[in-house]
Formats: sequence, C-alpha cells, structure tokens
Amino acid sequence: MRARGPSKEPQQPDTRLSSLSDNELMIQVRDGDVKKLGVLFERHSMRLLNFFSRHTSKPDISEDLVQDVFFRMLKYRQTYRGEAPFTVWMYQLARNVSADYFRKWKEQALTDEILDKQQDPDPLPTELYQQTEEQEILRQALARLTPEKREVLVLSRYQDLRYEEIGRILDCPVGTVKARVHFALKDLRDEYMTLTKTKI
Amino acid sequence: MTTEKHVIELLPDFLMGTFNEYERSDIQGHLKTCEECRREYESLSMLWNSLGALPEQKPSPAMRERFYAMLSAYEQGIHHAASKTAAWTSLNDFLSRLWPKQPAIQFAMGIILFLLGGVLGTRIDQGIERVAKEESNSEIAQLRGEVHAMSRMLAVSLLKQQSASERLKGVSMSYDLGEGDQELTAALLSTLKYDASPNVRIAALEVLIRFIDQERVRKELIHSLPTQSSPMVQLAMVELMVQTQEQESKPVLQKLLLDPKIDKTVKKRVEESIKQIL
Repeated sequence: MRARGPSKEPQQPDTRLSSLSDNELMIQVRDGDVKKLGVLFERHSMRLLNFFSRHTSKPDISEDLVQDVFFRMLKYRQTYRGEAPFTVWMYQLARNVSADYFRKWKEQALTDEILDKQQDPDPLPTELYQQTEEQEILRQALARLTPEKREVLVLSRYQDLRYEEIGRILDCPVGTVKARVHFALKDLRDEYMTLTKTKI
Repeated sequence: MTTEKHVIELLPDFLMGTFNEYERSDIQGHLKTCEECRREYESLSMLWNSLGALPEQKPSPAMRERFYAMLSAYEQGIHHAASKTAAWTSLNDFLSRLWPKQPAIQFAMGIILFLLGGVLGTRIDQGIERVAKEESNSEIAQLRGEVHAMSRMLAVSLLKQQSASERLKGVSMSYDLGEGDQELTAALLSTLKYDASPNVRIAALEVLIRFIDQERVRKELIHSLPTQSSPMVQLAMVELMVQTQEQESKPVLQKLLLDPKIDKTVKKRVEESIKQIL
C-alpha cells in the first residue's frame, strides 16, 4: 500500500533511478543529493521493518525504528565510504538502533519492576499477520531467544545476506556466525518444543 | 570425505544453500547413512523452512509519509544552511577581490591601524580632559561670580545697617571685593555723603579712591565736598583732589572757602591745594 499524502508525492523517487546500485545512490546522498535516499527507502524499508519486528518482537514500534535508521543515514551520511555493501552499513545502523531500543526498554522494565516481561514478551497482535497456530507458536519461540541469537537468525534467514556480510555486520569471523546460527536454531527448536508441549 | 564424518557443523551452510552441487550431493550421501545427522538435519531444516514461511509485517501508509516528511525537512535544513554559507562566502570573495591577499601589507596595515588607534585614543583623551577642564573652569567662574554677587549684596546691606561698626564692615568688605558695580559704588557714595559717622565716611572715601577712574565716581566725589561737615573728611577729600589733580575741583574748592563755617585748618589746606592743582 502506498502513501496518499499529496504533498509528499512529488518527492517519490524516479523509477529511472532503479538502475543505480545501492552503493551509487548512497554516495550521491552523501554528496548532497539527499533525495536519492527515497530510492533506498523504497528498496529496503520493508526488509528493515521485518528485521525490527522479528528482532524486537515489537511490531508496534518497528516503524519508528525504521524511521530512526533512515534518519541516521542522513545524519551520518558523510561517514559513508562505500567500501562495504550498502546493506552492511544499513544493518550496522539498524543494530545500533535496536541496541538503543533494548537498552531503553531494559531501563524502563527495571524502573517499572517488570523485568520478567523480558523473558515473556507481549503476545504479538495476530491481526498484523495471517498466520496459523503453528506459526504463532514459532513466533513466540523466536521471541523467547536471547536478542543475540534472535538477531543472527533474523539476519541469516530473512535479510538475504551472505555469512560474510553478516560477519561484517556483527564484526566477527564467518565461522562464528555459522556456529551462532547453528546454536540459535537448536535453541529455537527447544523453545518451540517447550511451547508446543505447553499448548498440548 | 564428508561421508566419513558427521555433517552437523555444515548444516548452516547447507540450509543457506551456499554449497555447490558436488558438495550438496556429498552431504546428502552422508545423511542417508547417518541416522543422527539425518534426524538433526530434518528437524532443523523443517524449522528453517517454517521460519521462512512466517508472514511478513506490512508497513502502514504513515511510515512512508513520515519518511518523506523527514527527508523534506532535512533537505530544507541543508538548503538553509547552504544559503547562509553562500552569503558568507560571497562576502569573503568580494572582500578578497577588493583587497587581494598580501600578508606583508596586511600585517603592516594592522600595525598602522594599531598605532593610529593609540594616537587617536590619546587625542580623544586629551580632548575630553580639555573639555572637562573648560567645563570645570566655567563652573568655578560661575561659582566665583555667584559668591562675588552675594558678597556685594552683603556689603551693600551692611552699609545700610544702624550700627557704625557694621557699616565699617560693609566698607571693608567693599574694599576686599575689588571691582565695584554701580550698586556698590552708589552705596559707597551715599555712605560718603550721608553717613552719620565721619570714620565710616573716611573709610568709604578710601574705597572710592580705587574707582576714581569712573567718571561718575569722580564727579560725585568733587560735588560731595561742600556737603561734608566733618573737617577730617574735608581734609581727606582735599588731599585726594590735589593728588589726582582734579581741575574740576577748583571751583568747588573756591566755593568752599566762602563757607563761613569752614574749619581754619581746612581753609588753609584748601587755599594751598588750589595753588597745587595746576
């Protein structure tokens, strides 16, 4: 679904720009042609939205976090070098945004003395997804993983990234990424089995 | 080779599909023979596929609107900042065209301006001092004038007092005042003609001698001579006429000789003085 806002419509990116790579577009943004960020938004906002909704298990705040990532792209555009793929830089920013979110959330939870909620996240609003009961259980199992394990699973399963790229995003060797994916999957299976037994 | 070892460690790559066809068939060969690896693979690959099938969240229309609103605001901010920078740059360019960079000249000009500033500063200080001095002098003169006027008023006032000693003070004050105005000299002449005390009249005469240059004072002195009744005052006035060689006083002196009440000493001095005034 596209936005209606008439005043914003003229700023929609030109379709002819689709031939440019992410890297070329971001370099133009860095050099002052900030409108080109619209093309990158159209290309990556959906993936980023689902990265956040799966990683934070908070679909209601995920759009705010996407906005924050694109704001940081503008704020730190001068630091973009284009040496790594654009998506690596984008997910590094996204990780910082989610780290800030988790820190704030944790502080809030401590303040409210509801730290238990960290282990038992809010149930996801089912109206956002057309999903089966099994999918609902799997989503809950994913939400019960530690943020680090959930993050590596989300990056490897949904974001169309290679292990080398994930290694650059997480700043660790490729072997470590693979091991983390493996352990995260095993933990997810355990959580899934536990939840399934509870349901039965 | 892999068929002889467990392939569980390779599962993440296998799931991601990063192996080539040869590697895949090698792993699949191992899975057929290894029950442990096959169970692990089947379990995790099912989970992996289930994860991939989880529905995606759809963005709300507001997300796009908010993004473009932010982009627009940021763009405006850049243009605003750029226009300010451009104005500053153009001013700099204008000044550099007006006066190209020549560090030696600019340094010299800096020193000249510094020295000029010092000189101007000193001049201004002096000017301020002079103005202040003039103002101060003017104020002192004004104050002095006011004190002088008050003294004259007091002197005139004293000359009209009942007490002879007060009137003498008035005469003495008139002497200290130096220059007399019309009011003071009129008061002194009046004292000379009409004061009851000969001492006061003589004192007034001594003050009036200082104003003898004034025509009015001179004439009044001459014509007041016959009105004087005191021989002491008459003698003092005759002495004054002789000293000042007043030609106009001769008729007055001759008329005085005709006065039957004249003192003998005075008459003798008057006769002598008529001869002395040439």
